[in-house]
Amino acid sequence: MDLAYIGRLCKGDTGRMAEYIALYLQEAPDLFGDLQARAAAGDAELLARAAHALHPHVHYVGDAPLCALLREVEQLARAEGAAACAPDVATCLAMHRQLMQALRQWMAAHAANG
Amino acid sequence: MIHIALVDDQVLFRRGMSLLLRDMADVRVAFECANGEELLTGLRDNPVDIVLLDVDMPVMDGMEAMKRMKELHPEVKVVMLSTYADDAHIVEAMELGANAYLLKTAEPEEIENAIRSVAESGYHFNERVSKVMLHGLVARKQVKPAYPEVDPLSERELEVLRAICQEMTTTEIAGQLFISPRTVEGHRNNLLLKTGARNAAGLVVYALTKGLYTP
Repeated sequence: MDLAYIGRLCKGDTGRMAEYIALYLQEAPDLFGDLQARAAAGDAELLARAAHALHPHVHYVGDAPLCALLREVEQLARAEGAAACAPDVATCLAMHRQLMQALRQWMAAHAANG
Repeated sequence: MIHIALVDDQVLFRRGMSLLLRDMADVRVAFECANGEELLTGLRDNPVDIVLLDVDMPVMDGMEAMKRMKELHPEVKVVMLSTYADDAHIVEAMELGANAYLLKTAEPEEIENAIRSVAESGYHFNERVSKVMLHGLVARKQVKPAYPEVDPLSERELEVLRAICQEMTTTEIAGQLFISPRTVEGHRNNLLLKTGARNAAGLVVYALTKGLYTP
C-alpha cells in the first residue's frame, strides 16, 4: 500500500486522506463483493466491467499489484471467459482483505495521532 | 468562480474528486449526481461551467449525456474522466464535443490544470489525446468529422488558430500578435464560423486534422 497518490489528491492533509479512506473502507467490500458475485455467476463481460471499475479506486489507495491483477482479470475474462478467472479473482479478494487491514491500521494510527 | 458538476455513479470517485476540488479556491461543486439523466435534471436548476463526466454509468452513460447536454446547454464544457485509454473512446468523446479527456488515474495536478485550462481557453489536450488526433485517425476513416468546405483562412486567422492550439489565452494571443483582445475574439469567431467548429476544442481538432498545426 502506498498512499502517495491520495496524499497528493488531498495536498498532504491527513484529515482529508482519512475521510477518503473511511469511505473506501465502507464502499470497497460491496465493490469486491460484486466482483466475486459476477465471477460466480459466470458472466464474463460483467466480470470484466467490475474489475475495470475497481482500477481507479485501488489506484488511489496505492495497491499496484492488486491494480495489475484486476487488469489481468478484465483481459482474461474477455479473452477466455469467467471460469478462467477464478484463481485470479480469489487472489484479488485475498489481496483486497489485506489492503483493508492495512488501511484500518493506517486509520487507527491516524486516530491515535489525533 | 468556476461552477462544477461531478457526475459518476461511484460515490468513492466523486468523493476523491471533491477532495481535490476543495483546495481550488475559485472552484465550487454546484452538484453531484450518479448518471447522465440526473445531470440533465440537475442542470435545469443549477447552471455550471464545467461537468466532470464519467463514461460508464447506468441509466444514461457519459457519451449519451454529453451529446444531449451539448444540445441543451452548448455553453457547458465537459472534462471526461474515464478509465478507458483506447483511441476509440477518446475519439468518440472528442467528436461529441468533450473539452478534455483524462484518465481517472491522472495525476491530481493534471486534473487541476485541465479544469483551469478548460475554464479559461475552452479545452485541454494532453499528450495522449493530441497523439490520438495526430495519428491519422481521420485519414484511416476511424473518425468522420463533418467539417463543411470552408472559406480559406486568412494568415491572421491561421496565426490565431495556431496560438489556440498552443493553449494560449485571448490575452496572450493579443500580446503575441500585437492586437487587441477584442480583435482576437473577432478572429476566433470567424474561425468558428468558417470551420463549423462549436468551440476551441473543435478548432484544435480542425487544425490537427487539416494539418494546420503540429504540436
